[in-house]
Amino acid sequence: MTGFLIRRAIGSLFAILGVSSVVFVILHLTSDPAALLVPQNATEADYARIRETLGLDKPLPLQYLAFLSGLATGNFGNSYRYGGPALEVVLERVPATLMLASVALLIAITVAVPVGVLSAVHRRSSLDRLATALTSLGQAMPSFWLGPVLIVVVAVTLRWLPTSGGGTLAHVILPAITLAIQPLAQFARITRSEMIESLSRDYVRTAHSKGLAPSVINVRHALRNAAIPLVTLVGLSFGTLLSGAIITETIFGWPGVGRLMIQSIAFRDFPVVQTAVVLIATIFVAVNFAVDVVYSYIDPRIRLR
Amino acid sequence: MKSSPSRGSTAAVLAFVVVLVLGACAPAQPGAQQQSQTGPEGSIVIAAPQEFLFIDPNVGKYSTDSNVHAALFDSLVDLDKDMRPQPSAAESIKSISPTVWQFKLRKDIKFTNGEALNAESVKFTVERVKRSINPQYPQPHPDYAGIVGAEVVDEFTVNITTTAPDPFLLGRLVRMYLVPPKYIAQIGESTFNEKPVGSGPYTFVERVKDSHVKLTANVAYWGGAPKIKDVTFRILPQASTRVSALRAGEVDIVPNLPPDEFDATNKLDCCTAIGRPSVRSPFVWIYPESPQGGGDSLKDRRVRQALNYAVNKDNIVRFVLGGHARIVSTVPALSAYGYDKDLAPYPYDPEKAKRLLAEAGVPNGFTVNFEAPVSGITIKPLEVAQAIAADLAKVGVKVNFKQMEFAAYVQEKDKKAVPPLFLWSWGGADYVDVDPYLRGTLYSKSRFSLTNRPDLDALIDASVATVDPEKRLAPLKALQRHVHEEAYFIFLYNQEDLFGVSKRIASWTPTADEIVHVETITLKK
Repeated sequence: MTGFLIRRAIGSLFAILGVSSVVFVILHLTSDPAALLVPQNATEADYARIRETLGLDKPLPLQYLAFLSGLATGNFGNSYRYGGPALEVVLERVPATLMLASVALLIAITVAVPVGVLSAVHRRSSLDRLATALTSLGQAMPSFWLGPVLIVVVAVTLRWLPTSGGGTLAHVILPAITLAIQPLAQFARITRSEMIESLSRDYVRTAHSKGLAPSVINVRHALRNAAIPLVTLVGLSFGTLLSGAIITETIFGWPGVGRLMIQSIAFRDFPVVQTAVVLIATIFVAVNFAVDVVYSYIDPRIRLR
Repeated sequence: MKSSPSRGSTAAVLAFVVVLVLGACAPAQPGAQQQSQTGPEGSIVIAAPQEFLFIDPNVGKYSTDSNVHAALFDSLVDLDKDMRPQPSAAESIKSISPTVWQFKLRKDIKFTNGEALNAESVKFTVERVKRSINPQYPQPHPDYAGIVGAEVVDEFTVNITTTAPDPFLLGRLVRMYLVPPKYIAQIGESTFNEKPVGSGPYTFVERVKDSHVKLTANVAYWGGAPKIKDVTFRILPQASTRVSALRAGEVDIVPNLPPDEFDATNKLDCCTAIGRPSVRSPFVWIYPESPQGGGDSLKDRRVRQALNYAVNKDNIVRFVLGGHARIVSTVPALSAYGYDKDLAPYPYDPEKAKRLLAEAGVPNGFTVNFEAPVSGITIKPLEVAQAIAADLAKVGVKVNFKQMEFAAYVQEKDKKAVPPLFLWSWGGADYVDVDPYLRGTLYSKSRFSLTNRPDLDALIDASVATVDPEKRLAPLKALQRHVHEEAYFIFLYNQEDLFGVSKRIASWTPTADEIVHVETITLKK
């Protein structure tokens, strides 16, 4: 078990390193932040001096080495736009994104699992058909459509919730719903199909013949087995939620890392982009690691490998 | 004759009533109850499309930060509604030699920590903007590169010296916001960004990054206490969300209203839409030497003029921008000092365009690359570019159109790798004069210029040979005529900035300097 965990941990480190290196190369080969930092009436000398200050005039391999040694010491450089340490710029905004992604995940799981279980248990009933139709619809709704629609209907017309911004629980509801819809639909469908699969297994028939109550069968036996693919999906989805939050955060003016990323990419603020990528890759990898641990708890077969 | 008793008492009653009425109408005695002269009250929320980078006004010169700077600080000069510099913190200004300007300051200005605003503060500020406070910006903003320094003459008089005669110095000083030297010495340079102190109509309350900035009224402001007590700038990057927030009553002023929302916003009960001429002008840059090739025909002036006759600018303004733009003869905004009102813009004349092309030896037109950015300063750049492309096709000039992401576009321009035709915008909130529009784009020594014409350079030099505004008008006219004749660009129009405004606001006029002057806003009772 420990060997398994150690192997996974090392693999995770390589993943993070790999992702950040790819991003580094792409950024540096295709963009010139200095061009965006000089005002319209700057001189050639101003331009050259900015490149020098930011270290952009050095050969690429040297810049890469500096980047790697920075990663190792935790020094991610200073933001080209904000001036302060890139790590600080990113960390200030991480809690907001984590909150949004977590609330979205919570909404998705809380709604999807019961819906999926009920659909499977009452297969082919009108409830099941309705749920299937709604989940298909949900998977087709992109956040850049749903978000503005929710704003116009709920916030502008009904005035039940604020249109945008951060700060209170009221502010997180609409963006979290927008972010949650697609994963919710996916989770519901997976839960349903896995439940149907489990419910047709021999051990369920055995449990019935033992006289166990249907609710016990459904939850303790069938659902627990159906949960394995669901847990994987939830883990993967957390990473998607973090990156999908970019669009939702921009629409709702939510002050998170996603919005920071988009603006930093648009302005080629290399240190901030790189730091955010490393951070998100780390969170992603950590969540998947946690998924593996939960996995091995739910499914004893994995532990023994 | 003795008056009858009734007439006597009537007179007395009348007199009594008159005295009562007069007494009621009399102005209140000093110290007694005032007539509704309460302090600042109420609050407004203004949407901001981008995050505020620095509350410290001397670090960069980002125009997106200016709303906050203008509220918190004062500068020596201000811009009036015609974009002409006017004395502000300085009471009087005169040029005592071609390179020395003398500013006599008002004596009644105090920073909110009690420190007086005087010649020392000005000198300190001048030195500060020429320093690098932020390690990312090791040189001063190019606007200040021409300033040598400031010298204290007496407590409220200061001289500013420039390297060469600079007719635009006053325009450059509009955003040189004055800061308190003693306070900064106390708390330290970098802390000033977190705890700013200024002398302006508002004081800083708080800033939550990416979310909002809150200000509150400075009742001791020398220009009179502002009417509104609390001002919040909320950061909302998405245009549709800003409009929704306006409709939901969450924000009171929304800048950068998309032209397509203008009429719809006016029809709402809650709000109105206002437009005002911007200082920015889009145009199609003509670059015959483009490394992408295909630009040879554009070396002939007749071809460039033909392109100008071929584009139906009225239609673009009417149908793409809903009428919210004003056609100009070259690039400078109509408000720019020295704008030649007698120079007519190119009319729409596709027949003349075809004739000119034939004369130049390309009667059947030619094919050329054309690029436009998907975002940036230009309003609806892709739609405008497509309209232009369609017009050019009608006279035989076929374009290979490509749309570019903004940062990639800027880089391509920087490396001079742009195609022979590309859509660009020029202008800035401090552009009060014709010169920066044409110098920045056409002067051979400008970093961004793609043109190298000694005759053009000579005209630009001639227009700044003197600081006397009257004497500059003739050279500026000659310069604009030359640019117009040579048709270095396909000239278009001057944009209009559109705002959505809640009906809670009683009065506010947007200014062309792109700043929302919060101290001028009043709310309805």
